[in-house]
Amino acid sequence: MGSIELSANADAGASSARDPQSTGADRLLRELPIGKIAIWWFLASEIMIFGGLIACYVLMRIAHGGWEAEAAHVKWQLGAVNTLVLVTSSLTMILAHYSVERDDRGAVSRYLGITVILGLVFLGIKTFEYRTDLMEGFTPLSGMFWSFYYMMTGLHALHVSAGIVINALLFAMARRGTLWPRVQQRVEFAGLYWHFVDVVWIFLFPLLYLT
Amino acid sequence: MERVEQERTEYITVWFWLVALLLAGVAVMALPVSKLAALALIFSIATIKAALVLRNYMHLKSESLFIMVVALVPVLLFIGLAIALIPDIAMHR
Repeated sequence: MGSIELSANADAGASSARDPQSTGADRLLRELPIGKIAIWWFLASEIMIFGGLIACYVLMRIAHGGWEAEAAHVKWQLGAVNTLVLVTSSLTMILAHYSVERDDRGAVSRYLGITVILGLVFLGIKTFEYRTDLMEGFTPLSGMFWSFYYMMTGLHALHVSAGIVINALLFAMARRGTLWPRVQQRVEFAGLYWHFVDVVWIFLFPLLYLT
Repeated sequence: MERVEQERTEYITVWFWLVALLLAGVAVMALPVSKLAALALIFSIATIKAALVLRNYMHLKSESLFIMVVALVPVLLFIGLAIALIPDIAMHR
């Protein structure tokens, strides 16, 4: 199937090279799957959302003297454990993709399942952290630092939740055997989203917990 | 098949590096260095970690130029936005 598509693309590419009407966009769409362009376009919009938020946070923090007293109350140990959990889930997600390439169906569903569990562990730790913070009296209205803290980690947790739903769906499909034959793209695109969520946390952790 | 096997080793090696860098980032807090130096170290480490994920797990190292541009332009835009707003927000007391 892949080789047929590849050869069709190659034929189309060869004819477009001779076709004076062929545009750069035509060539681009032949070289890249439309789904891949779409997911990267979506991730680009996500970069702007988190990037804008992070930029505001950094600027406000500089403007308000660093918020060091407030930041001292955040539990960096829990943040570090959550970073380890998310980084490990990125590994299991890429191993699911790797197993697709090897056509190891059992491993695909196993790694997707582990990724979902690790995502849930991340949310569990985050919930515990929120509960502890709220019980200590640090609410989103306790000051600008806490407003940013809940906004940024909350938005990230929403993205983690969406990723868990997507991966759980893929896991269920893999168990039922309905993930194939478009498994390659499905797992790859879900993986791109999941790794992006990991990258965002890689920056949120030092911004909120270590500085 | 050998290439696929090599990829697996690469993914696991990257994970070890990510864990090591996470520990290094946390350890910076205990270093007897100035606040500015600690911040520079912490964010350098975070940038390396993000680059590792983007390059190896998101396969940016083998992606087309178009995808790289799509990923890079918003990063440049929000960095530009932050720099442009520094005089108005961060330096306005």
